[in-house]
Amino acid sequence: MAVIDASKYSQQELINILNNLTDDDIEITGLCGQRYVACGWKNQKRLILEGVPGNNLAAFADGPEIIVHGNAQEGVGNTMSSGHIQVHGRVGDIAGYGMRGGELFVKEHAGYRLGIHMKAYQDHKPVIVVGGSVGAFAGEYMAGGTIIVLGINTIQPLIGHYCGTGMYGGEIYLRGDYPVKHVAPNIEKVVISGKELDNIIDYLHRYSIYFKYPLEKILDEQFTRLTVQNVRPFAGLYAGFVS
Amino acid sequence: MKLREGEVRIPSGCAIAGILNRSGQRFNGNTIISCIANMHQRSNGLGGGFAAYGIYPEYAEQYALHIYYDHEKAREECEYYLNHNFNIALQGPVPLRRQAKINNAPIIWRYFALPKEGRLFQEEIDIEEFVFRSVMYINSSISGAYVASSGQNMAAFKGVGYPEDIGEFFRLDDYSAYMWTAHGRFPTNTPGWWGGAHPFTLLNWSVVHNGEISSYSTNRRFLEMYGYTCSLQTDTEVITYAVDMLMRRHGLSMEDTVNVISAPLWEDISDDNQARLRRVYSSLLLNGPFSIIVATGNGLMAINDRIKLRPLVAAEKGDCLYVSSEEGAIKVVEPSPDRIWSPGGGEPVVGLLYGKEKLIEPEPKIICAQSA
Repeated sequence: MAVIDASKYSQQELINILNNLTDDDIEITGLCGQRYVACGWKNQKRLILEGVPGNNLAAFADGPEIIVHGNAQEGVGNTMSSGHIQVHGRVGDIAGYGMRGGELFVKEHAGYRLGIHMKAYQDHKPVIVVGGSVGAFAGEYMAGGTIIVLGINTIQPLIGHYCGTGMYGGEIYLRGDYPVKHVAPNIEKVVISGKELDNIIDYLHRYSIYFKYPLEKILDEQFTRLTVQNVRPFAGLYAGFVS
Repeated sequence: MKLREGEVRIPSGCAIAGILNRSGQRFNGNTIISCIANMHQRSNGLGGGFAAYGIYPEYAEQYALHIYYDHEKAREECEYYLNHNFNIALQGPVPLRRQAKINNAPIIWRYFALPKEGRLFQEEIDIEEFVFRSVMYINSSISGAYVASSGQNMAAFKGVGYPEDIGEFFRLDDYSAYMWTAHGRFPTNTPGWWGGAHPFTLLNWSVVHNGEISSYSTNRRFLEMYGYTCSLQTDTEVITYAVDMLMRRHGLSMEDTVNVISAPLWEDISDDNQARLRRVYSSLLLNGPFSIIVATGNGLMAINDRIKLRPLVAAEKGDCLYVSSEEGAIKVVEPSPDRIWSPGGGEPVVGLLYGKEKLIEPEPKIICAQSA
């Protein structure tokens, strides 16, 4: 395993070194705001990060597995295609922006605009699991994929304003109570239990393993599934044009 | 080959940072320089600056006027004006460390001064109002002179360059303050020049800002009716004047001020007071994306636009409060904060010195009472 101390290099040097490493397992220590780590990586490398990786961690990534021991800043997994990211802390705004595949597990909270513009295609199905609460605009313009918000250890409302605004595909799962008025009006809200949880039980199970939180406690509360009522909410927008 | 516009991407976006020691203990300028330097990539070398509070305890009562001059003639004209209106306790050039990275600096002087009592009597206004009017006069009517700061026991150090180089240039390692704010600039709609760098100040106020104020012209026209002239060609200027007008002149509380500049959407307005403020001061709503730090001698307030279109992170450790555009910039100077969080849109983070309850004490100062 290669071990890199990020504090010794400038931003550009660090990215050059990382892109030229041939090792499959890499540990980066001393991170403090360095941007673009694993940005655009098309490989199956395994990265362990210590400290605070900067903006656009794993943006456009296609395949790498990344574990962050700490918090991450804005734009984690921006437009990523595949891969796995685990953040043992919180993430900033626009995490999972336009994500089109892969997984993002966040132990604590996520900032504003989580998973906006997420989309899915055939077997590319992006998933975001957030342990705490999320800021406003979560799942805005969402077209596909899954967002799960657990609300563990949070005093904030589970979701911020305008959750699922303009959404036309995908699913958002909320655990426990949530402010209903924060959910966009055309969203269908269904309380689910038992076998209906099969779609997400694997993700819940993995959250409990990654972050050492008992699965039974996660399943103690009820889950609500948010989906769009009409897959073409704006089809009737222009008068007289019926499809 | 030189790349043209559209072929090159500059991934910048302005950076702000602020540190307050609530017990009033002063610390060196190197800390805030490390903090803002960590976000180097957010600026593009066309502006950097700092505000420092508590740096002139020997002259704490005097107004520390830091003034930039394009040429000696401007200095002569401005000093003629100052000598006529102020008793100047001390004056001289601001100490600088000349270096290759900072070019085209103006002539930078500072004056520790108090308005002449006779002039206050003639004008029938209080001291702050007098200093305010003097600043507006110098900025708008003395060609080539710009006031960088005009508060008590504080100063702004700003110019064209990366913030860490500006900090070197102004020898911030020689100063200690109980509160520092900083800015790294990526000018978007307006020129990068010395007077247009952040922080923007007036009396004890200072504002650093990441974002853009789309409502600049609306805000400016409203403020002009109350005697504020916007002469520094940057949208941030209106934020400073708006908080000065609302809190110093109109005596609004901080909550009410927040309800004006970052008002909730109409559908979320819950009480009559909020609705009234939204109507009376509709022209002072700051529209557009922003994260700002507003500071006075008593402390600071950091706030986002109501839908949080710019990043903002806050942290606490013991007596210290940190606010910044990025978490990395806080962790670089305080690796293990007691608490770290992202405030929501329109949700202010407030830090005050112990024993202070407000950003400013708005009692009107009557000239006669002072002279008696």
